[in-house]
Amino acid sequence: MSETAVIIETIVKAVVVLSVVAGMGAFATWIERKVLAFMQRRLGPMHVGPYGVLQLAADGIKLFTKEDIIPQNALKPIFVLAPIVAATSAFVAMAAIPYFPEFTVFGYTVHPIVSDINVALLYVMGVASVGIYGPLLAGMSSANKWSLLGAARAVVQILSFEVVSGLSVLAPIMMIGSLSLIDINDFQSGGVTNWLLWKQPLAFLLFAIAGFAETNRSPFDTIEFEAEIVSGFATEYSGMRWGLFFVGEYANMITIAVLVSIIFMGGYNPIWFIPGAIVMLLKVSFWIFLFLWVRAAWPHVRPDQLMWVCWKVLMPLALVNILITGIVLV
Amino acid sequence: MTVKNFKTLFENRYFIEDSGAFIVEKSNILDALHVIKNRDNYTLLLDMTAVDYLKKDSSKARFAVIYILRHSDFSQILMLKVYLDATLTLPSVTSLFKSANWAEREIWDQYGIQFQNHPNLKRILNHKEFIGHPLCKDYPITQGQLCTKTDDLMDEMTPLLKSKGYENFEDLMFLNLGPAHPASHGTIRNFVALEGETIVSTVSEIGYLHRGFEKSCENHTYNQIIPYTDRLNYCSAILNNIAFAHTVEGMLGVEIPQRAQYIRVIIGELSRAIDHLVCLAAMLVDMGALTNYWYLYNPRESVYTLLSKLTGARLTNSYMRIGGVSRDFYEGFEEDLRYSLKDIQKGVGDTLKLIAHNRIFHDRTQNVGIIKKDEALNRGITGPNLRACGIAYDLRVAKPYYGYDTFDFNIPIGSTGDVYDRMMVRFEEIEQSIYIIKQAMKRIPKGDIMLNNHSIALPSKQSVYTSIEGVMNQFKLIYEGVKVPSKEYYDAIEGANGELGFFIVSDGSGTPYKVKVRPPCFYAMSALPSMIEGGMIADAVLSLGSLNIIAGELDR
Amino acid sequence: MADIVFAILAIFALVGAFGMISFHSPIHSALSFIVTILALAGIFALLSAPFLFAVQIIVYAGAIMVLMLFIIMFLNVRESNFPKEPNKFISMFFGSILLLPVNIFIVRAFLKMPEKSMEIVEDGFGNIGSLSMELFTRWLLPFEAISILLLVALVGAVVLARKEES
Repeated sequence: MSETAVIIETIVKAVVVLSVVAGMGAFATWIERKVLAFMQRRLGPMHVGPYGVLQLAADGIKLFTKEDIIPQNALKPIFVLAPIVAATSAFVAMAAIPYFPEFTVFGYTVHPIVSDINVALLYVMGVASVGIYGPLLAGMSSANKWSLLGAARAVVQILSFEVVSGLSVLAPIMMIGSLSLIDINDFQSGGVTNWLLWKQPLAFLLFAIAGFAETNRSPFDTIEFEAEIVSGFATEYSGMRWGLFFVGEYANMITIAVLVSIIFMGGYNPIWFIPGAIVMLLKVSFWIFLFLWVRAAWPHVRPDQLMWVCWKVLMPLALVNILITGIVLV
Repeated sequence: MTVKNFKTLFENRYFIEDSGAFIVEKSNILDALHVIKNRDNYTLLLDMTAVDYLKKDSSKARFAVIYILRHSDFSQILMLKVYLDATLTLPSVTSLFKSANWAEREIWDQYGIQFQNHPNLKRILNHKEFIGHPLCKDYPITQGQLCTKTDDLMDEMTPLLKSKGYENFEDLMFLNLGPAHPASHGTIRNFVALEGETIVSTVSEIGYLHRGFEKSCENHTYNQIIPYTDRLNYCSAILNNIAFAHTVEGMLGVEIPQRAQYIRVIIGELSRAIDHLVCLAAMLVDMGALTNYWYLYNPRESVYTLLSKLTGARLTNSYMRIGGVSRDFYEGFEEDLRYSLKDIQKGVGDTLKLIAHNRIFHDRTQNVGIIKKDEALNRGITGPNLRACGIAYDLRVAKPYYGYDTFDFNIPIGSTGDVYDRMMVRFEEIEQSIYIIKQAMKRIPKGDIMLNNHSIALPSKQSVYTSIEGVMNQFKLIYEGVKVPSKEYYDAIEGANGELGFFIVSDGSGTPYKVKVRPPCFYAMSALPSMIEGGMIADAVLSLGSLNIIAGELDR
Repeated sequence: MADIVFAILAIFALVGAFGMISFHSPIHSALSFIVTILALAGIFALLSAPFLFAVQIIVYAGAIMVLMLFIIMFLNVRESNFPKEPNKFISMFFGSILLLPVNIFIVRAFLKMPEKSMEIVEDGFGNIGSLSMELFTRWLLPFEAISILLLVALVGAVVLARKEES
């Protein structure tokens, strides 16, 4: 294949991933409102379109047409940059994720991955960790104490839980011997019993918990929790700038859902008669639903309790898990 | 009277007024309170207020300050009164009762009486730029003032931090939690100094919702005041109505008909239940447990539907009248009530299922915002907040009214006095209230709902339209109000937040000479700094929520 | 293709580096440095060293610079507290003249290097397996020495950061 063809293919894939994930993210907001509403004995959005589906469009119009406010004392360039960083890093991280098994259209084999890097997992986690600049820069530049508190919480929480997610995922990697997500997926082919979930239950749990914390979901949504720090780093943001944070957050949520599905739950290997693509969709949907379910069910923790859990419980457990895996492997 | 020690020690140095208040000299007040508190066990300073006798009988002195205390058996109260000389000064009693701190500030603010050795005598309800003292009888009610400057509160914060050993404040971050903060549930300002996210010290500023309730009362007839009382604790408006009507009826020396008493018990307990629902729902939202909000608010909605059918209003019901209640139950009320109670029980049950065994909930609430027994009493905290500390004080049991002694119910108490206890006490009180309502509905007698006394209750429409006496009674009562004999009187009921008392001075006319509410929130709020210092912002939010501060009642 | 990408990344890296030393406020300097770091990561990727690329992002961009910014944020330095740098650009100019011999040396060394394509060398080059084999066999001693050095620095930082008990 010529170089130009590769470039064109990559650009097409990137655009597809971007638009599909952005669309899914927007749709997820509607799903979130509906699911939460039904769990909370209310109806959720009902007035715009059938069952409120068009609420998405209404929200979009609102976000785009809202007055764009930049506080007087804010550091303007950084204030403007922060939401862009948050959204971009969330989407760039998706470049190395294989979503579906490869398929053939008109005799042309398509690999549904923007770029097959052999350290894909490291790449995804690395780029996602760059996303921390979003909240951090927003909080620093807003000239608002609530934003500052939110930024401090964001940095402490996300950096700490990156340690847990990194260490927890190390044990499965040791078993597989590759950082490529495609290799990880292929390692688990051959049915539900081959899922890494059964071989690495502790790593799975730790990674899932860290995923909740890194995506700032309840019960770990301390970063912008209204009752305590108003809106955290996003206090001074309005309109589409705020919307970009929101989109980034949902994209991160989808990334984590996809990662858990691929690393621990068999990825896109077909189960019985269900094709791999559908299996993958179902798994990701399940994880998104789980995020919402947990949000509806639990109160959230205090930042210092969160740190306690992270450094004194989860991290030692992750280390022990690595040790045990190492001993077993040797 | 169990003030033996006081009587023996202060022989010839006190005398008793008609109102039952003990009069002591200004120079003796500290000693007298010391003896009364420590020897005679009147350990709870309920309220302090002043009276301006300018337009009544200022022969003895123009101002008097009144201390209302409650005995540690909680059934007896004692009023101590001091007439002031022209210097308008009085020794502060904050060293004996911490609850006197804010009470004295309020008296200084409203009457201009100075308290010597008070730690921080500044205005509390009115704005710091305000000139004059609004509750003085020579301050015209129409004289508004425009105040614009905000208070940076550093005059309180700086000495507080110095006393904690902070010399320069460069490492501290000062933050305003409120007046417009999502968790302040109203407009309350807590100015905190933070070290990281740990609260080093706190200063509260209240009065954002001060609308001169007490001054307004002095210019309205007794029945006209009832709608004003709705706006005190607006989460349980009817309990405020009851407290006020109950006090005035006590001054008149009348007892309302049995059926009216039962109605007051039923609707009052229902109000208590929804007040607790609001407090718990808001608190759980502050904790991020969003779902519980709807579980607890939906039943409240069904109670509001019921109340709007019964009283014509959802929030500010004005259901009580001096001498009874305004309307009898409508047809089908019992069915609606049963449905609402079931709703409440379902909401409470579902919420408890979600949180009762939830580790996160326990970690967030247990051993957070602790207030100890003695401290709570000293601060004048009452109601669920006091019961959470382990003191079983409930006026419904300590000094039963409306036949509460004939109902079978328990008072839940806590053990540590933390946020968890305060929440659980409220959960259990909702259950107990429902239990009381069910008993009362079984026993409620038929009969009148208003006193049959034409100087208190409005005549029936029939007699107004057909007889001259009826017209005149209606006219006199509307224009002049219920004539209450000249008295100084304090009475209280168990409000949703604690002892909700009214101290009323009457002069024989249809308008009270002075009305002072004893708002339970006011004293609970003054304890907040001691609860949240050393904790996190997140804890402060929960502590504030668990005290159930209602700004309408706090600021009046 | 690779040359164009390299040129773009190199320009980014240089602009970022220049920004870092020329900006007045520490926040802006730190942000420019992040640009440099990311551009360098891109150059690693171009050199078919995916592991170095990912590690560069995770460690430098994702952790170290975040902590730097975090510290800048908490020091809360005001504009007025910054040192005045009146002759900054003149000193920079003279500084670069002083460094000229070194630069010439480096450039000449580069020119002497054999011409090589920067395309992908072979599969498995620069990935974790080969990198760790090198690190843990040939370079084991230096690797461990560096680890100890970092440990010493860590302990030193903790000791320095601990508040003096008064």
